[in-house]
Amino acid sequence: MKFSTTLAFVMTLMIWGCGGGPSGDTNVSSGDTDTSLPYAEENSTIVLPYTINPLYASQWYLHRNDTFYRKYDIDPEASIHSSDDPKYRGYGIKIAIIDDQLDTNHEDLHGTKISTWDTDTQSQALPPYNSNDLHGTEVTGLIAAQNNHLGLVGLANRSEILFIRLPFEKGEVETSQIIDAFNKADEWGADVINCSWGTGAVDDAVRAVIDKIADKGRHGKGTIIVFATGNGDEEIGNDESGLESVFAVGATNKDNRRTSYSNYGRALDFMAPGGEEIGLITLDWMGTKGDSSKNYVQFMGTSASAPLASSAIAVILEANSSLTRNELYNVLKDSSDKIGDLPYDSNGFNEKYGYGKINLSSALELVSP
Amino acid sequence: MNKIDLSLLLFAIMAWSGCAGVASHYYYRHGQKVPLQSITEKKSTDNHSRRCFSDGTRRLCFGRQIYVRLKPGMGVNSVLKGYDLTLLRKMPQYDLVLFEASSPEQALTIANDLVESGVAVFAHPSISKKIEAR
Repeated sequence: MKFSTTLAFVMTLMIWGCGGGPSGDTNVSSGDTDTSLPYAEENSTIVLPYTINPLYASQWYLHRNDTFYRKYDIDPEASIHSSDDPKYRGYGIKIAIIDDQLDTNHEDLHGTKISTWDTDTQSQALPPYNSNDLHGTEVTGLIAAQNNHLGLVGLANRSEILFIRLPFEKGEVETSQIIDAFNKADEWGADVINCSWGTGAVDDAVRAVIDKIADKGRHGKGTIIVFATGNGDEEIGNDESGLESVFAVGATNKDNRRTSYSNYGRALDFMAPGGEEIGLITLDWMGTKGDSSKNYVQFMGTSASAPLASSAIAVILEANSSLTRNELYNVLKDSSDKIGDLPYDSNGFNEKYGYGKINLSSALELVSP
Repeated sequence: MNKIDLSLLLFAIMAWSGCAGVASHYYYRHGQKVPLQSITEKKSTDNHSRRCFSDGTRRLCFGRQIYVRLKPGMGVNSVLKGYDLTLLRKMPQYDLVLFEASSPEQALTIANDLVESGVAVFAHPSISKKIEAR
C-alpha cells in the first residue's frame, strides 16, 4: 500500500478521534454539514475568508490557528504562511495534476473547473472507481478544495485543474504514458505540473520531454514542474525529482523540521509541509469508498508537500504572471525559511532542506506589484 | 606484462564480471552504459510483448517501440534504410522520433547500435517500470 495512503488511514483515526477542528469535535461528513448554505463563491465575485471552511482551523500546514497549534504542540512557524483572507488564490492559472484517479464529484470540488485525460485509454473519460486509486483525490484536495462551507480549502482554489491519469493501479507505467501525460499538460496550457510520484528510473525520452516543457512551456517562460522527492529517507537517485529542470520538494513536519522519511540530496530544491505525527487534512473519495467514511482524510508524505508547493507557485504566478521559471525559482529561493539545525551554504542551500521551506507570504511580498 | 599490469587486468575482469555479470544485455541511460540482468519474459495477453530485466535496483521491461533523439544532420530515412524499423511518430516539439522494431530484443539491440554508431544522441526502447505514489 502506498505510503501516503497507509498513513492517511492511520492518521484519520487518530485525528478524528482527537477532534479535527478548533472546538475539538468538528464533523465534516456531508450529512452533518449545513448543505442548505450556498456554495460560497461559485460564480461570485464576493471573496469570503477561509475561516468559513469547517476544517480550516485544522489546516495547520496553511496557517497558524492558535487553538489547534496549542492542542497538537505545533511549531508556530510550521505552516506555509498563507493568509486567512488571501488576495491571490490561483485565479487564471492552470495546474496539471498527473496522478492516479480523481473523484470529480467530490462535494468540495463543486465549482472547480476540471478537465481530465486518461493516458491509459487515450480519452477524457476517467475509468470507474478503483479502491487502490485514492491518491489523486488527496493530492487534488490540497490544491483545489473550494472555499465554501464544506470541508477544507485548497491553497489555489481558483485555479483550473487539468487532471491527467497514469494507471498507477497496474503497478507499472510506460514511457509512452508518461510522455503522453506531460504532452497533454503542455498542450492544454498548464502553467504548473504537479507530480506526487516517481519511478526512480527516469529514462532519456521522459527527461527530454520534461526538460523541453520546463524550458519552452508557458509561451517560452517555462512551465513549473513540481516533483515529490519520495519517502525513503534516502538520497534522490535517478528519479524524475532529481532532474535539474524540475522543482524537487521534500516534506516538513509539525515541528518545522524535515520529516524522518523525506528524500534529500543535491537535487532537492524546497521543502513544504508534508506531515509526520500529524498529517494534512484533504479530500477523500466520497462516502465509504475512501480511506475514511467522512469524505475527508489526513494525508502524509512528500506527495502532500508537492501540491502545497504547486499551489503556492500558482498563487505567486497569479500575483505576477510574467515571471519566468528561473525567476520564480529565485523568488522561492530568496523567500524560503532557512529552517532546521543544519547550516546552509553561502547560496542558502543544504542537502537536507534544499533552499529551505517555502514561505508564501514572503514570496508574495517579493513579487506583488 | 608486468605484475601491476596483470593485477590491473584481473581487477578489470573482476569489475566487469561484478558489474555486468555474464549477461551481455545493457542499454544506455543518460549516456551511461547500464548492464542488465534478464529476470523474466513477460507473457503478454496483448500485442505488446515485453522483455524484462533488472538494472540492479529496478525491474524494467522493454517493449518494441524505440524513442530516438537523432544527432544533428541525421535523418529519419537514414535510420529506416539501415535498420529494420517502422516509423511510428515524429515528435518535433521534443526532438524525438518514435520507431517500432519487430521484437523487444531487436528494439534493445537496434537502440544500442543507434547510440554506438553515432546516429543518435540517445535511443532506448519504451520502458515499462514501477511507479511509486508518494
